[in-house]
Amino acid sequence: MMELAFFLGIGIAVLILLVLLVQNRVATHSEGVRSGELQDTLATLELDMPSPTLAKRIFALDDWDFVSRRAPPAVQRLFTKERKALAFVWLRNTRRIVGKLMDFHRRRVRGNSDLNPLTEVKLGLNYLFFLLVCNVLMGMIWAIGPFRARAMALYAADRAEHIAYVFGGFVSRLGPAFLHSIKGSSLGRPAAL
Amino acid sequence: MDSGFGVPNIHEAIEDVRCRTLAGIRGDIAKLIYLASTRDYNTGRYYHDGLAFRFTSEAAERALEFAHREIFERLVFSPLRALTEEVETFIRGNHEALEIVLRTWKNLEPYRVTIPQDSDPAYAALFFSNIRIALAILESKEKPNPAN
Repeated sequence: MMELAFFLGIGIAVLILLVLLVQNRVATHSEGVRSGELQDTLATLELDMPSPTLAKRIFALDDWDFVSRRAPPAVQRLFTKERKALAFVWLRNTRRIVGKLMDFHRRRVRGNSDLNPLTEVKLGLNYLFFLLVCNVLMGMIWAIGPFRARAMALYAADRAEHIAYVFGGFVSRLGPAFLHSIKGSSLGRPAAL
Repeated sequence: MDSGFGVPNIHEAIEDVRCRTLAGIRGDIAKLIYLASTRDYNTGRYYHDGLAFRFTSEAAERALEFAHREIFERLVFSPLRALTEEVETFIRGNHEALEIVLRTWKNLEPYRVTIPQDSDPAYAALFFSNIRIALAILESKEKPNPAN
């Protein structure tokens, strides 16, 4: 029993540490990467930007309020079913977009000696935490529906956007020459070893 | 959103589409359908003789494409209540019985061809879903079913 409590305590401490590290916003908006700049950078690299605006719309409570007040139960059921499907589509899409950013980072950016290893670790932890949030959210949408999972969905959208900004911060620090070299090479292929 | 920089007179052409071409069309759904109708279904290119005459064919095409995307994204991000009102305004302005138009829209889903080419699939899915819900709400309003 004592052993169980001990390992549980360690587990909780590690989780708290992980959350604190992830919550510590590194290299975000404060590092000078503006939304427009980030979008341009991602477009140049043929990468997408996660869309928190879409999440706000899919999980919008005002839509649910409207349907629950104005529509009969059959339409309410149809609406919930459709939004649930959309929520899953959005979540899978967001995970794919962030996955591509991280994959690009692993293949093309990480090897650069100008990078700060601590920031690198934090980005990795951010990504792991994002995946954890996505899995929890997937279960929540399935179990309690999209509208009750709204807060978690917006949190996941915020995490996805945060990772995109951290990634943008990395790329902008590497400078236009790096972007130019990337543009000049084949974007889809892994970097030469 | 790409505003077509690099094409001469593009900003003037966009303003012309907003302030003249679309000014007489009531509601965003009607505007979306009109803009989609200026597009060739085979090539996906937009044509408008008047605009091409005032500017250039390229400026007209880019301006129509820009306006189409702008209206579409405005509708995608509209609250469902506003979108339902838009659909109702469009259908009631059609001079056809509401019931017939609702049935046709439900069966043929003509709104599927109104979206811009290369739209984000998630935006398209949300738009189609919202239109389906709006139609269901209007149908239930028109023909209340006590079994519901």
